[in-house]
Amino acid sequence: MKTLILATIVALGFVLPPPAFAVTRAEDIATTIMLRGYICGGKAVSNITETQDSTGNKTVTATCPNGQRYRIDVSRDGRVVVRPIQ
Amino acid sequence: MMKYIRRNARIVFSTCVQIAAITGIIVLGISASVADGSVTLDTQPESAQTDILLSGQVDSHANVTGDKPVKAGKPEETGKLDGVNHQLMKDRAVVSRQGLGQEGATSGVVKPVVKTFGMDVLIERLKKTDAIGMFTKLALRSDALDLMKMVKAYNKRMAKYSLQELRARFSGLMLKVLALLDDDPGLSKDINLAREDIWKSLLEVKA
Repeated sequence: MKTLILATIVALGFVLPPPAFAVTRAEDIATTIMLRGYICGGKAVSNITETQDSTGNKTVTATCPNGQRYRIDVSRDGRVVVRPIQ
Repeated sequence: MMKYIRRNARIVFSTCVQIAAITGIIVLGISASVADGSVTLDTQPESAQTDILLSGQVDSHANVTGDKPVKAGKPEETGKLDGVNHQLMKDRAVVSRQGLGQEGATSGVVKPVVKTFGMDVLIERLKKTDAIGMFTKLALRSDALDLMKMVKAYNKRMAKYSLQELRARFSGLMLKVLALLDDDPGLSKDINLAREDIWKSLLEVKA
């Protein structure tokens, strides 16, 4: 019986499509940096800090795997600007 | 020891046989259902969810395919990506593709099956997909808004970009979106199919 259940699960694994995995925040920020044409050197960033001012503008800073830090400004109306931090 | 190995080998063999049998039964079942007509394998890439969404949104075009219009759920109010909607939701894209209907298959007469895509549906699906993160979506939205600004300027005859340059920028943006939608192949295919219609509706954005 146990074998049959196992066999069914394995068989279903071939039939059913694999589930889609949601991207993590670190991957999301790294993708945004790369989308703006900057080199990140990896798929995920680290040392993420996030601040939001009283007007609703959000600032995210993160470090790429290559050591470069970036600042991502998200305005209240959703505009995204990426700048490297020297 | 040998007895133990033999016993284990027998178990492994029986498991393999069972897996093969179950897989075979499933495959035979699916093909039998297809042959009966109880299940139709659509050669077009949309999933069932897509069909429901599309038929719900393209109320003016849904009757072309004979589908009953189904009202789609209320879009999620994120408040972030609405800027694109105001411009693009008015425009709807219709993608016509040649396909073989069931009647055509039986009678030998090829009938064109018209599939419709609602621009607003694609935008909603893009908003809801898990394949792209929030910041990336916002960045793409910024790019789309910039492109729309350029097109508006072009329509006002005030643009410094030619139509070819705008088209190249649009293609680049589409390439980015499609590359990012690697984990959502259904949406990626639909957007790719509606590419020309998206471009047309972009050009129709009022100045």
